Amino acid sequence: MNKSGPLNCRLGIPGLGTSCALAAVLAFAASAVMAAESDLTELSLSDLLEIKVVSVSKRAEPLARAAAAIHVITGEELRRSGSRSIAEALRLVPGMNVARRNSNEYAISARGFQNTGDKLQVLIDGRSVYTPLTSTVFWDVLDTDLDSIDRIEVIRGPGATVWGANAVNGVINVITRSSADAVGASWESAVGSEERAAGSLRASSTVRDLGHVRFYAKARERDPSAMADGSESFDGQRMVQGGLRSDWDLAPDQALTVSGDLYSARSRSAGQQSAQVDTAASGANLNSRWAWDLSASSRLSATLSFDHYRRDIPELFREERDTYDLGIQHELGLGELHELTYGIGYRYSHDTTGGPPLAVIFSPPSRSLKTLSVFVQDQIRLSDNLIWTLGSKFEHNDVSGEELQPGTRIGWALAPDWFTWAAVSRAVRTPNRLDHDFAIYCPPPDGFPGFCEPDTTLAVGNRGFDSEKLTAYEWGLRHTQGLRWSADLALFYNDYRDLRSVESNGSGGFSLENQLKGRGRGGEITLAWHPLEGLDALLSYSFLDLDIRRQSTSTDRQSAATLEGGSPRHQAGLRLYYQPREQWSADAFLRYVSRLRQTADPGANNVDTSVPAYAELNLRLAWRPNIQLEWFLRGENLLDDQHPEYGPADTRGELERGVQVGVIWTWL
Amino acid sequence: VAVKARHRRLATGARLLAGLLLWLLAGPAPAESALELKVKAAFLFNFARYTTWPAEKFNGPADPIRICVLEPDAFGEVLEATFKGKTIESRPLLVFRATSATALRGCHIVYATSSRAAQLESAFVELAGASTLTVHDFERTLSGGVVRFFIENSKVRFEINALAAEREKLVLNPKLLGLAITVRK
Repeated sequence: MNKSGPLNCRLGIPGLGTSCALAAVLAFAASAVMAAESDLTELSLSDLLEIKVVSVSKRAEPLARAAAAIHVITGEELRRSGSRSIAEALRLVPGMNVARRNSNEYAISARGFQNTGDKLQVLIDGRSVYTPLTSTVFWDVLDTDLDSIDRIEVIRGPGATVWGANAVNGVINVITRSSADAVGASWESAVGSEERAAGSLRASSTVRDLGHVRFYAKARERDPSAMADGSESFDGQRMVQGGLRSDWDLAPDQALTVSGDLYSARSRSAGQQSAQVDTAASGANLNSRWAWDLSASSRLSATLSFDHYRRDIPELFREERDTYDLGIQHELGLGELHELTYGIGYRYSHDTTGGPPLAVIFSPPSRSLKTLSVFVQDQIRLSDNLIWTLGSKFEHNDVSGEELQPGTRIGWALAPDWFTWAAVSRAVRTPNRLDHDFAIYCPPPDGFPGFCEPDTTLAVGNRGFDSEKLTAYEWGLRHTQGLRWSADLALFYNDYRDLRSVESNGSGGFSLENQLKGRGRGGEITLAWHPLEGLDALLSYSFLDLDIRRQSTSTDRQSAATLEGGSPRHQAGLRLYYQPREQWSADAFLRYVSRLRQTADPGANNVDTSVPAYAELNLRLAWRPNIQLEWFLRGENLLDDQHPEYGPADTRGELERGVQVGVIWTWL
Repeated sequence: VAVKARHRRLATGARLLAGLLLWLLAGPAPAESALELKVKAAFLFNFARYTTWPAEKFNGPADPIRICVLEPDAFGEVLEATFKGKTIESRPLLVFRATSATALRGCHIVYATSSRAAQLESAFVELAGASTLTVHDFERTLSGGVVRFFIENSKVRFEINALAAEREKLVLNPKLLGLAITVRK
């Protein structure tokens, strides 16, 4: 937007009076419509720069040639969906399983294992954000300035060959825009019934001839969800966050990016009425990335990041963690045939958790985890239409020792509009602190009746716990019909070994062991349709069949059923983006999620942990009277007064219908 | 008779449906893809208008401005249609195509598109020193390319590599520079 020229009165339509801005906007809309027919060389350069040329769903060309089940949400799609968080935005990805346990907490996965949520690699600008505590992501506080997101790339299926441990069922890569992209400032504020209040401000500027910098700050307040009987669940959240990104041109062939974020949030678990039990979460991170083009076919990059967070749940749990991450990568083209990528990474993560009298404890309370990894991948151009990729990651970590994660992919362009790919890969989820060190402290005076005596500690973690392993077989097919239609099909067969089970040790205690195995099979199909200028539709359907079995020595009678029943068998989504004219846009997102049979261990009381199938609709209507101003009206979960998405019926928060109105101001 | 009528209706319905499918599948690409090409062609026209080449790049005052495309390209007839009958300071505009960059050294503007940096860079090396305004649409700045198209907020924008322009002895009008993102690489 920074380079758009001054509003041009020359094109003003006669009779509209003196309002230059209005005339310019109308003329601008008219020019876009007429542009297809008229002689564009008659337009000035600044008018040319204002013509909209692509639809929101148009994919970057290389994507159609990616040998993986990849889907990209563009920044434009993200903004027009009106998603208020990264977790909500992931609902837009076909085949992604996103369920909200209550106002703040999410269960997110791909291709199953939604209840453990521990088989995803999630990165923001290359910085891994899952915690080695549980291998999960604290989705409640995972946020950034959504307006600054360039795109979210999601790979369903293993990506361990490059991304490493935890990239078992999927990789999510959130990529923010360069601060050089847009110079100016914008302010957004909104009020609503569920997303009660939200405000964000961002401003970017050039720094002499040296580079660009962008700052942002945001705050939001979320309304509590509702319990099944309609009573309030008290699980609201307040969060403030700020950060910056700066991009520097060190030399013609070198670029440096430095970014950082700072956040603080307070929220409550569902059903907790007292403010005494507010969960406090805060954190900060600093990242730098340096890239150096050694030659046209050789590129060296290094990343260094630091992340700190703290999470405090009174009476239950406390953790503080510092993580340092260093990565060096070299991309090297060897002739016309080979594109070699190799790299080395080192990660150091140190935590301190709270001990008794908190109930959820880790023994030892403090531990450092070090991971060293090396990866190499070669992309071989067998012919113009056939690309074969093979590679492996070698990893050494403190918990499971050496891990080898090889993979091979082949991509074949059958015709200009047909592409097929296949892959075989191995991936592991390395043991986390929970697997090894988890324990429960039973507080006085009563302990947990029927479970443990007061003032005793039940060790559940097992130092002998090994990695969970996956061998995945995938196949995919893509077809494009000009820009009007495209279809993307991906099928998979996953073979899992050594999955986590909870074994009873005979004396009333438990131990985490690798006594489950199983397979997952299914697929996702996406149809994108662009019938006419200003209208895009995306229809998707995904199927999942998980079959988990316990080994004969296992005593675990619940985990397999929870793994199988905790992810939906069928999911479908329909996204519509409609922009009849430049000033108006209407966007809709309809989703269907089939029934979840069992989302948790029903326990001795046999609590109902199933979740009924549901369909929900989100709508967003936006009006842009001029280039600087946008008003929007947004509705979420419009089809039901309230609906549950995850967890046992007696403790889960149900999501209520929400309406929100807001305005975005942009200064160029 | 009723059955016959129903069959006829079904057959008509099936034909209509098939027709609709054919129209959807085989219809021409929507105007919008052509629009992007048209906008880019119009930009090329403006680049020609706002660039001053060294005098020796022309064989006389009426020598045409040669706007060339390194094949394969997606322009089709768009360039010819855009430049038809146009002149810039009494110079007509001519469109040339070739599969090798060396054959395009006589061109004033060369547009090359590829998803592979190495392929573009090697083309630009072949054009080096020929005072050619090289244009590409790769995802990042290339040291050999003078102008790079990119899409931002669904609009075509361009970046000018000032170092490459100087090296090729091209003088760019401030009007052009003012609307571009300028980099030096």
